[in-house]
Amino acid sequence: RPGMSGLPGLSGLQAAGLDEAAEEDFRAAFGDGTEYDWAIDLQM
Amino acid sequence: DEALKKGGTRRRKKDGIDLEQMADAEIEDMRRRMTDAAKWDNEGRDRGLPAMHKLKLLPEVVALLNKNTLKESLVDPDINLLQAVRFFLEPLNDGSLPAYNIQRELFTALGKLPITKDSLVASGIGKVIMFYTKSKRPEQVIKRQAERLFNDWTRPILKQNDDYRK
Repeated sequence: RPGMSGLPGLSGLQAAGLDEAAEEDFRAAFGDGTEYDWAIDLQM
Repeated sequence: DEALKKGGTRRRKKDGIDLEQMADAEIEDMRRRMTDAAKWDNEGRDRGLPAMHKLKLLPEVVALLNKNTLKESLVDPDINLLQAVRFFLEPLNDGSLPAYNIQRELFTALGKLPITKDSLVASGIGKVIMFYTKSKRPEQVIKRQAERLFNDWTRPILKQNDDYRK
C-alpha cells in the first residue's frame, strides 16, 4: 500500500483482520508515520 | 456514549455564571499562550537563543492538564488544546527535541486524559507520539511512555469500528 510503509502500527491492525474503515481512522489519527521524518533526518 | 452522558451533566450554573464557559475560556487562553510559546521558541532557536518560553509556561500547562473536573474540555476537539500540546512536544526546526521536562511532564499528563478518536484527529497529537516511538533521540523512559500512549489510543479506534460492525 503506497505511502503507508512508515506506519509501524498498521501491520498490527491488518494482522488483526481490521477493515478499511479502521485503517482510515487509524491514518486520520496517527498520520502515515512519516510526518516528522524531516526531524529524524536532521537528527542523523 | 460515555462522553455524551458526562457532557450532559458537567454544565453547571452558579450565581448566573456558566462555569463550563469559564473553563472553556481558560483552556482557550492556554491554547493561545502555548501556541505562542512554541512559535517563539522555534524563532529563538533559529537565532541561536535557548528555548525558554515553553519551559516557563510548563508548570501552568501541567496544572491545567491535571484538573480532573476539566478532563472532557481538555480533550474537546473544538477547543483543541491537544494541538497546542502537540506544538510543545514537536521537534524544533533544527530537529532537536524539546526539554526533557516538557516531554516527561506532558507524556505523564496525556496518559491520564480520556483521549478520543476525534481529539486525535483534530489535534494531530498521535502523529507526534508516532515520532517519539520512531526517533532514536528520546530517552528510553520517554519512548516507553510514547509506546504506551500509542497502544492506549489505538484502542478507541479499534473499539469504535468493532462496535460499528455489530
